[in-house]
Amino acid sequence: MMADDEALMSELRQALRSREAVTQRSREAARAAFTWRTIDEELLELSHDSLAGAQALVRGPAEVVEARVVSFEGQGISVELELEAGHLIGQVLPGQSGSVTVQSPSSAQVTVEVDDAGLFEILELPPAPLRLRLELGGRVLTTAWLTGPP
Amino acid sequence: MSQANAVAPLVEAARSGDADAWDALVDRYLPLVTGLIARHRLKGADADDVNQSVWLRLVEHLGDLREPEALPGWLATTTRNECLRVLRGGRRSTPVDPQGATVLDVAVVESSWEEDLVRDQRHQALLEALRQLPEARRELLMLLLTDPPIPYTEISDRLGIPVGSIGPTRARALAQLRRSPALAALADDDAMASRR
Repeated sequence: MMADDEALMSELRQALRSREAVTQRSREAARAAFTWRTIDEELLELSHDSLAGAQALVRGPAEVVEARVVSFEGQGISVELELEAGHLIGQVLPGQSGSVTVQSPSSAQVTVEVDDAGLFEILELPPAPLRLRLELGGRVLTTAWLTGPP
Repeated sequence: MSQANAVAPLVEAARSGDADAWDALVDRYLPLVTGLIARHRLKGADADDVNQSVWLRLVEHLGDLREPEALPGWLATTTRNECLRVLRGGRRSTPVDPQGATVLDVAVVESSWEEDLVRDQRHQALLEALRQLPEARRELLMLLLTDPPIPYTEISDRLGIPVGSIGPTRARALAQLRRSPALAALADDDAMASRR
């Protein structure tokens, strides 16, 4: 019985500790995520990410830092991105002009032009999580959130 | 299970833009998400990043979550994936002992989210049971649970009870805690789960 009581006390201690781990900051961020709800925009899902994949787990320290390559697809459109040290080069396929806005909960939006070939470039990328909102000839498309290092 | 039954209307309401329903979902599952992040040993800005990413993804996928009851599992999987992404991303530029790091990752990956969820529900039930205790008993338990421990003599002074009665009162408080409705409900769920 005494041992049971000790076990229960130790469980209670863990429960209290895990409650403390929930900071006000994380609660606010979680609640605020709702303001990024989109209603009528078309979603482009992540279809490729060079950062994903199990082999990355066993990468050695000698590995050279290389650009992260990411693709989003959907609605007959794909967007290819190459990210390196906060710099982004992207292409919309099939190529078409328009504009792209980078959205990030932690910083102001940045909008750049997409040229006729579908190419665009963003020099100072805000920190992740971020997503792109594309306006292409009257259509509005939003990529899934991109997380991890830009 | 009563708790799972209540998830569906919250998801439904959040889908149609009800921010209060969203906040209720956050309150219910935030401990699961932050607990998992902590178990991946992520802290500070990394932990904040993962937490924010998970909830942004949930907002994005509220519309296509077919089974609201599957939400805890979805959150656990998404949280784990985001943690691994941060761990991988960080490893590219930070030299670490590859062997040590791999062992750590494997250990973390192997623990299943179901265990996390069960433990998390048990923790929430325990805290609820603690809240349901009479004030004096709860106060005594809270003092006994303080880390680092407070000496019995000090507890005796603070609560105005003899040192000799602390042990027996603790035993009675814990016995009452075990009988509380919050823990009883969980025990019923466990019994049902083991019969399935």
